[in-house]
Amino acid sequence: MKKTSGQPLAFDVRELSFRYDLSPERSWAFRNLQCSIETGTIVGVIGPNGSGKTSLLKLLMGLLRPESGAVHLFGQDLRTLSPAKIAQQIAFVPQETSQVFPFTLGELVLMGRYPFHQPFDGWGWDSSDDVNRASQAMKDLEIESLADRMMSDVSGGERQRAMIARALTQDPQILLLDEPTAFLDLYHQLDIARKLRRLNHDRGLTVVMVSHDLNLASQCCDQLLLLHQGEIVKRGCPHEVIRPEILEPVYRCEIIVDQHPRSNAPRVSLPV
Amino acid sequence: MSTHTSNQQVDALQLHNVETKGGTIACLSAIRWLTSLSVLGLFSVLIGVGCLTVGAQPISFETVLQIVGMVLQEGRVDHESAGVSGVILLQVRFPRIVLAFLVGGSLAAVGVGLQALLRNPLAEPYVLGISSGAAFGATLGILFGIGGTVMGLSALPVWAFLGGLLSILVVYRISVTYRMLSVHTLLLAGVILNALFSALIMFAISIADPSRAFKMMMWLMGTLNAPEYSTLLWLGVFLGVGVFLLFWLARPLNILTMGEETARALGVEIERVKKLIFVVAALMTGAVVSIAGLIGFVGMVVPHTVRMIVGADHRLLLPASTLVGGMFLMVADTVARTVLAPTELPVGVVTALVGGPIFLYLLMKRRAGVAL
Repeated sequence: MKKTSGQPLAFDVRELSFRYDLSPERSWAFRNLQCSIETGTIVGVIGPNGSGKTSLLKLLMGLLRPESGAVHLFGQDLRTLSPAKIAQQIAFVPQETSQVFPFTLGELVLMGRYPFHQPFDGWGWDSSDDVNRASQAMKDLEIESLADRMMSDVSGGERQRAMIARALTQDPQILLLDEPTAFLDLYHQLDIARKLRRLNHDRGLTVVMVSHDLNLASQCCDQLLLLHQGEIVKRGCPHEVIRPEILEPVYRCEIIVDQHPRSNAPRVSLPV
Repeated sequence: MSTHTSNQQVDALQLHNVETKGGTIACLSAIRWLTSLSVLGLFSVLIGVGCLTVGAQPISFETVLQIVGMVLQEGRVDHESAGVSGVILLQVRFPRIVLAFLVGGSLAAVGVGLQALLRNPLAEPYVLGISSGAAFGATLGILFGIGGTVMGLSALPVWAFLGGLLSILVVYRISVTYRMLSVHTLLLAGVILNALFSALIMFAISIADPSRAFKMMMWLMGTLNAPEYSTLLWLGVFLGVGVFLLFWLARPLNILTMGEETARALGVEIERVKKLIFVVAALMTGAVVSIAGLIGFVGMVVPHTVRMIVGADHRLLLPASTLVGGMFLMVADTVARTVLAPTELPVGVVTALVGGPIFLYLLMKRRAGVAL
């Protein structure tokens, strides 16, 4: 919400092209994509299935490498930064997490401190600072009582909150989330949305989230990025993007937009 | 937005905020680490001494202590006072038991590393065909008499290493290509590699002369023979360095079990870690196979059991599995050399008889959808 001109851009994507397979027949996922994300904003990436939302998130994080062009993180080319340096600034919450080995949720959350250890620092105990940060993050997400439980023993929502707690344990400046509320019930959807807003407000955390939930995105985000077939069709505040004439061609269905009774944010519903 | 409603919602949040004690996370402490490993180390020594007393020629515990005391005090053994028991202990049993410990510990450590890397609790050098790749390399070396010696040491381990590396690369390529199918595809790949390399080895044996062929067969079934102390020393140093490198990667290994993407997002230099684990695993498997042949299932059964007891944190899991693997193979080898005394069973037969059924059980449990 607050304007933060003067600060370097959190992300500056320049002329980015990317495809999943380098063979020339494969179509481009992104072709000469340009976009920037201002520091301190909450940005929602929306768009239909296969529009490249998750790919964009992974490109921003350096998990996928662009074929040409570059992503700049606070003015620095992502390619010049080590994975640990990136992880000190950006935390990523994937859509789904599977676990093969019996780590406790507490141990999983503590993994968020890894980027702050020396490279290849295989040993060493978790410092009390590490443990405190992880405990605080678990408290913030109300899962501190589950610290000794295994991931397979907890609900999808609790799992998701553990992953967000791990991301917060990284103490990042930027949080990237892929469908953060996909497995959550209403209470926890609301709760996560509020926590994100509060983190954004209190710490100036920049949030980029991919969401299928247009209403959540509309309520929660300062800026929306509508993706369609690897192109940014529209970008702007929710009032500018959540409009039938913009959404209908992209989602290929009739969309009714009215106002949220309390927040006045545009609200999407479908005709049946 | 009215403040009234948001207050209500804050109340709702607090209702859910059930008071819990402390709030600190029970993570691995130095004390727990040290206690666990000291206990396991103590057990290793006790079991080692126990194995010294057992054999075709039983040697009493007192005699063992007496001779050990003699070695510790004088640095050498007076052959006249120690007698036959002394010779058996020092020339045959002791080096063999130490070898069993080294081999078992290494196989378990490599198993832990591969399991983390491939995110599969059934991964193990034997099951994945890495051991048979190494055995094939070594067989080629023997058959063609290539290599001879390098710096006074047999070139066999080099061949075994190359063979092991070849299989590990094939296995990894498959696991990356078919990420979604990994568990079963990976095991299938191992089965096929095993069959392929076995066929090639059998071919080599069938064209070798009979006395050599018998030796090769025994070696392939996994046999521990009392080694020279010099061999024991270089093997100990070599495997020790390998195990140390894996310990060093304990934290990255923890995070790698969450998947490569998550690991990278958390700042792990996955390419470096992966390469290091591959090379270390292939080197260690090569060394083990060239000296002890094919010994299966140690690298799967031991980490699995240890994980159930100490948890998944590799900082403890790795050293604990190494010690337990060493103990397991010391006992298995003692069974192998005594159960049909004076005839000896290949120790690989014993470990397969123990490990095979456990492996099948785990596989069935997995298929039933129960998390391991």
